[in-house]
Amino acid sequence: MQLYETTFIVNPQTDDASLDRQVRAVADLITTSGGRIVHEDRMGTRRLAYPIKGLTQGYYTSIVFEGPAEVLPPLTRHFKLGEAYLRHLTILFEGDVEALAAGRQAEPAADSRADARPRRPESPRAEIPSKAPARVEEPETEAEIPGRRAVRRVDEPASGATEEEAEL
Amino acid sequence: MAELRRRKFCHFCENIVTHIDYKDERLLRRFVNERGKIIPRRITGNCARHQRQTTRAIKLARLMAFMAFESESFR
Repeated sequence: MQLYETTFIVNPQTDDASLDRQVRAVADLITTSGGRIVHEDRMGTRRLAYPIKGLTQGYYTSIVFEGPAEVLPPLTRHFKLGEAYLRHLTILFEGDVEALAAGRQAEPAADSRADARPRRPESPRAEIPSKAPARVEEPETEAEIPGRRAVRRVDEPASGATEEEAEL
Repeated sequence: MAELRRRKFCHFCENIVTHIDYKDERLLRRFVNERGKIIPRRITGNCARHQRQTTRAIKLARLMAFMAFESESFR
């Protein structure tokens, strides 16, 4: 038994009922072929990054399910035969199941953090795992050698100023 | 840019991210330039492991039309 995640795009140019039917058809197929649905996320109608079959919008759904590998061939065939499915992708699920169960609470937080662009985190050193230390030490050595900073400021007056401001 | 050059951190190591979701387009957009090309880790400061994960996530996101393949006007 493996955890899989299948994401697919349905043509949104139909009524809600048939849209729902298309999504439920996938879920039903998974359960009838021996899978168990762990989480279903209907992301809804989103803008496509590029047109597919002349459409600019698509109805996204993502289903995380557990099951034997035998679930996958019928699922793929279903997507290929169904003309309403614009795209489909089934991959091994590597995320956190518990976070899924907790719902969307974790996700928006991650999103907002990404938007905040924390390039200069307030207290990064404590959080950084063993990987980064070589890089983390860089600014410290810079601080110890004032000459280096001075040279840098002469080279790049504008950027030096912004760095100072950012530090404040 | 100056900030980036001065101190590079792996965004995912900082936030202790173990898995990068290809559906999180808003996050991935940070690691792609205006044309939709993947930014090298020499610029972003990602560690090797997370850059691999990011790259894979971006490529999957492109397949599923969450993100554009290279384009003249990205967003």
